[in-house]
Amino acid sequence: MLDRWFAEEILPLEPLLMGFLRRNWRRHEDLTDLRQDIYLKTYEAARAARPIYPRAFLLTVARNHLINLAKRAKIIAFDEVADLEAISIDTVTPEQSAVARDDLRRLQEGLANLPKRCREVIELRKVQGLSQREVADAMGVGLDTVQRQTTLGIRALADFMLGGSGKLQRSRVTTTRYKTGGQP
Amino acid sequence: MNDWQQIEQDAAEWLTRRDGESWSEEDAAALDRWLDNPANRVCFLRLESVWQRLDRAAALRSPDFDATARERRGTLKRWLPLAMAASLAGAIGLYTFHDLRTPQAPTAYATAIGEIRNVKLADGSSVDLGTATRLRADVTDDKRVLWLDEGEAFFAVAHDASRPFVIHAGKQQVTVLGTRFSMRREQHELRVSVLEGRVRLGPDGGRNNAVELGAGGVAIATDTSTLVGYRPVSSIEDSLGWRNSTLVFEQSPLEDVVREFNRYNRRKLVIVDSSVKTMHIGGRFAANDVEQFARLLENGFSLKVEYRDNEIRIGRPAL
Repeated sequence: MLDRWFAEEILPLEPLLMGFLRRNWRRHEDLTDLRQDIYLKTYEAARAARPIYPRAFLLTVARNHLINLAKRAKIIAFDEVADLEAISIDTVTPEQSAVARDDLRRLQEGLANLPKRCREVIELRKVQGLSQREVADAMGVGLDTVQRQTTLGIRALADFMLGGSGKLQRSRVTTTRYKTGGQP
Repeated sequence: MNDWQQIEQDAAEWLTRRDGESWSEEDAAALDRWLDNPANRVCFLRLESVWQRLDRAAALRSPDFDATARERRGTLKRWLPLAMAASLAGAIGLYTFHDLRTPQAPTAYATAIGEIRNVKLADGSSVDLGTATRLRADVTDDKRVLWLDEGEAFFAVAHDASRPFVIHAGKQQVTVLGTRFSMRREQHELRVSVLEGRVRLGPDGGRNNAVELGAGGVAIATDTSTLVGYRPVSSIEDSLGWRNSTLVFEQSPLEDVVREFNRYNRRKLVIVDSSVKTMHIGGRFAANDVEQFARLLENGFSLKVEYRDNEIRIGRPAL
């Protein structure tokens, strides 16, 4: 139940969270890590009691996290952070239902933004409903290629769908595990 | 300090492997162990939510998607006959004297209370089955016939003028003219709501007494009469929230809201004081989380709520 609460109440707020972080944290290369730290704290905190107002809750966690970081790390110059104590938890966001209706369009944009081969793999798998093996056969490529492209696509689509840039995040480690069937 | 880049890459690889054909029990157990770490878990949930959302895109296959599908069809054509030849060869080897064209029994699909499920039909159409639903489908090269025996379903029908898409529901019959719409069958009543395109609804067989519905059209048919009305398309979309396990209400009487929740849950809501039946409720709720809804009534509206094993009783405001 906690997982579902997190997926349904918190994750849809990602555009709001990212907007908040962008406004209040100067070093934009930190944003992805900050986002995940905040998700983790939110998830852990909700274990004890599910907050009634997820939006206010998430933003409070975010604000406290930024304040703590700023206080702890003396290295961060003061102007790294906007006037944190003054950050208000505004609750103005688009209507949820409007978001839902935009969902499909956003998804299409997300797919269109993927590199050609990656998009083909995802569309054949998800829109046409072929299995990974069938996708590999249809495209005349190996199963490992299909899996590598799927992995790339999942990450890029997540970023795009949830309000980020949707740029591919090539992993820093090479992923040859599929061939050997080992555990990630 | 967590290496989020690495965790996200691992999470995406897990999802990919789970999506593949060689996923085993041991893999599932290993994934569970990996997910015991909350840092891994939040990352995985995030990617999973988007990956699952993609399924909905297929169900909602729009003309744009069809366009991309058509682009691809060239490739598909190339390997489909091959795959078919291969499976035919296998079949002939096993059943030399079996007539391969023997008609197959319709495929039956069913969901339990609270379950929803997406089904892809052989013609490329997609059906979302709602809670406690039974559907049979007989889709072949020359026909598309379905039976909605019970429950609710949303259809995204692939356009194909040569094969009419016909759905039987009791004595009623819906003929689809390429569209997206939902049907809900309860006791003697059938409700058809059209999101896009046109459908024809009428008693089995004849075209007499049939009504045609366009986008926004809602028909409620019993054995003897059919009521037709039009609603804003957005309100039809709201009524389809169940497809992602969400119930959406816009100032509906509590009585109706309770009936809707009870379709999705074994633990039933019971209104024990008739004065609250007409109270109006709006909002979006998780269909399977009746407890959360009850807590909302308790905390938000100060209603007296009593939790029992198989039911949750709702009474007048506690003063």
